[in-house]
Amino acid sequence: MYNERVLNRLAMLGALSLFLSTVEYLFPRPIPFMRLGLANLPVILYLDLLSSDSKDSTGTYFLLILIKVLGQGMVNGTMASYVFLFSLAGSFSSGLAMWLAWRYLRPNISFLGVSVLGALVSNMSQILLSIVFIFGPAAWRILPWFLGIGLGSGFFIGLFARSFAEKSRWWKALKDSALETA
Amino acid sequence: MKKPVKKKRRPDRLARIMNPTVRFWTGVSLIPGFFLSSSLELLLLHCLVFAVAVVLAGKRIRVFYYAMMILSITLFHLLNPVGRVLWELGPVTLTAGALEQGLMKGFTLSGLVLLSLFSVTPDLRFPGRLGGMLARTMYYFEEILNGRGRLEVRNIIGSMDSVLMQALPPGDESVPETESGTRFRGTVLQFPVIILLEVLVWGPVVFFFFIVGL
Repeated sequence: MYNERVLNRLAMLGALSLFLSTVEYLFPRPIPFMRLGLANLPVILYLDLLSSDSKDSTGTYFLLILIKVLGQGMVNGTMASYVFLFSLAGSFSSGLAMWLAWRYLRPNISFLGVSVLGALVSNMSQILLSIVFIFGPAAWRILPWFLGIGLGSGFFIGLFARSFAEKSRWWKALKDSALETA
Repeated sequence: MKKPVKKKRRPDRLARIMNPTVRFWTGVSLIPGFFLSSSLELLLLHCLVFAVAVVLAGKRIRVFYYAMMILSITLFHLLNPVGRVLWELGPVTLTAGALEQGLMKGFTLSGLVLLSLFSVTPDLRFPGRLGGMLARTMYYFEEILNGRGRLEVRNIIGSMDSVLMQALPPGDESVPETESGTRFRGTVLQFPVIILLEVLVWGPVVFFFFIVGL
């Protein structure tokens, strides 16, 4: 199975994701289903470890997404509700899209590109779910709004991820530690 | 200028008497009863019961969030007219069926969120390796939360960085000791709470469904 140090690193990134999720929870939301997606920052950053020589793998990348979703469900208390289903679908579909883009389009795609792609895919999958479970076919009418919001939030998170990766001593040390243990 | 990120938490009164796992399964056992609510009045009663449980759990109920959710779901349902016309103005038609469907769905989803807020706590522990990973993640999360007061909005990356360096030092290879299961079994007082919740949710359902025959 996975290396203990890799699992520890995943737990740290998962915790950061939960923390960012609680920070985001404090901002007022004009629409109940609208989210900025700050909690995706560690997932986007983790893509960088996959392309390095560390022991982090595709499996651990998806494990991080699972920890993020389960942890958010526990901290926010939404695990037993439809919100969890939306979060699960949005996180895994966007995670898959970002991983594919990072793997096959690198170096022609940056954190900004994967973040925008991830946000659009996440919002798209959540719209599909809301058509089936909540709003009915009328939900197609909000698709352009949702995609517009996704574009904006994806752009913002991508910029933040780029800035954080460049400036953060913690992230640099975590990356170095990952490479040392490879 | 430093700004605190989070307000002081309200105490979780239920956590003092209830075991987190028991609380989770109590919540799960109430879901079928909630789904069997056949009328809007019953749904509202159940939502009220769950809201009281959420307040006792020390969690905040964001009224605007629920109001917007119910309103938006109802509005979307009104776009597809169903049943008796209640009101008509040009192209806009308000129908009784669509209004009822929208409100029912809106309150059902709000009730589920409230029920989830009551039953799921960060102290809930899952078995196995994934459970262990989650416990470790929660441990680190608490470590970060302890330093959240040092976050500065104007220097968000710099201040976040110093919090993370202290809370989660990247070179630290020690694996934190986390419990795979919770030790607190709950007190005897948890049983009256469970019985009360079950009676309040299942009681009206059984009464209307089996006795009155609605």
